[in-house]
Amino acid sequence: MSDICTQEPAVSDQRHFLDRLVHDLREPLRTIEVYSGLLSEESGEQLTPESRKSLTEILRGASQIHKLVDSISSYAMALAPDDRKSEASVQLALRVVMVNLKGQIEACHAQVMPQDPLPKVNMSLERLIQLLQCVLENSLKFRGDRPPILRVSAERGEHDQWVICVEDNGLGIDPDDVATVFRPFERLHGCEYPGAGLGLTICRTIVESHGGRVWIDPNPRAGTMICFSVPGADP
Amino acid sequence: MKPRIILIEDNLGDVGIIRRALDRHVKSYHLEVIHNGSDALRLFQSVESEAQAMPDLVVLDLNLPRVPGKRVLRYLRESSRLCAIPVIVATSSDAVADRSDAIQYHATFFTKPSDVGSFMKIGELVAEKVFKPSR
Repeated sequence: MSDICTQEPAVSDQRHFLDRLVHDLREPLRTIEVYSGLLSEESGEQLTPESRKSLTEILRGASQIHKLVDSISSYAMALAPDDRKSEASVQLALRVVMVNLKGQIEACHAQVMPQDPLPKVNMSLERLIQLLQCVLENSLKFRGDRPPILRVSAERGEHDQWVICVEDNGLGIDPDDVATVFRPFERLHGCEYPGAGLGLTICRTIVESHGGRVWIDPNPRAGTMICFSVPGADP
Repeated sequence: MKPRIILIEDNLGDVGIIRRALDRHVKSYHLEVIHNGSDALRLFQSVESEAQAMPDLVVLDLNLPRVPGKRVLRYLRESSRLCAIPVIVATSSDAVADRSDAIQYHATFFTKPSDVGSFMKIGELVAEKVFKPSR
């Protein structure tokens, strides 16, 4: 009999652990946020400027944890088996992502330019949306000074797979850091940019669980090109 | 007579927030707090046997120690004496399955929010159920 302590925990155990962790973190976090709100609402005028500053810092910290917990929740979802696999349209998924990210896209005057047509792939629409949203959010976040231009393209890969690429004109990634960015909680820019450092880890988890891979290509026009391969819906 | 409200909630922070919301919107009420599902079932059994007065409203968390909230809700709805008690399911969950379970058992679903203004709305919901009952 193998020693249970030396075994990798099953993915379902990891997911259960993360779901539980997310729930158990959200409760006390909500307590902090709501009670800080109550304090500000009920006693805000009696607080000294220093105390008000402290309260703002408490709420800022809580908001950071909130984002972290949401990212962990999204990672737990990526670990779940994709049991609603079907013909998912990359075009439709991209349209949904653009609606989800409308605020961010408009705030930085970004242009998203999809190739027409884009293929159908063999995964659930829900998971494809999650995957594309992580890639696009990454490009929008690390955008540099110019308004972002995001080109989404697709070409046939090996073994009936499609390779989908998102190319941006943002900050780019140093070749030495390319392997690092897919690791969980890696934040190359520290606190300069918001986020938990899980976006590209979520992409890798989704892609690998569908038998594909994800990589970063050097981009001739500067910026970053994130590509991933996923099974086609029409082998 | 003050409305009798049963709050079944294990998180003391949430108990305090709900109490504040009731203070704002219901003013005069009698609140009993129960911290786990098995004590809740015991209380409802004693209401069924008429050893205790009928509550006017139940506020129920789903994620409870010992006996889950969904079982408590099912118990209420399957009892001919208790089935008409208005129930507000107040939970951290925004899962579709939890929401549809609540609707199936004729309960009002309330996802506990993180901002104080939205959380206080539970007081308005309680006032509506207690003072203008629709069933």
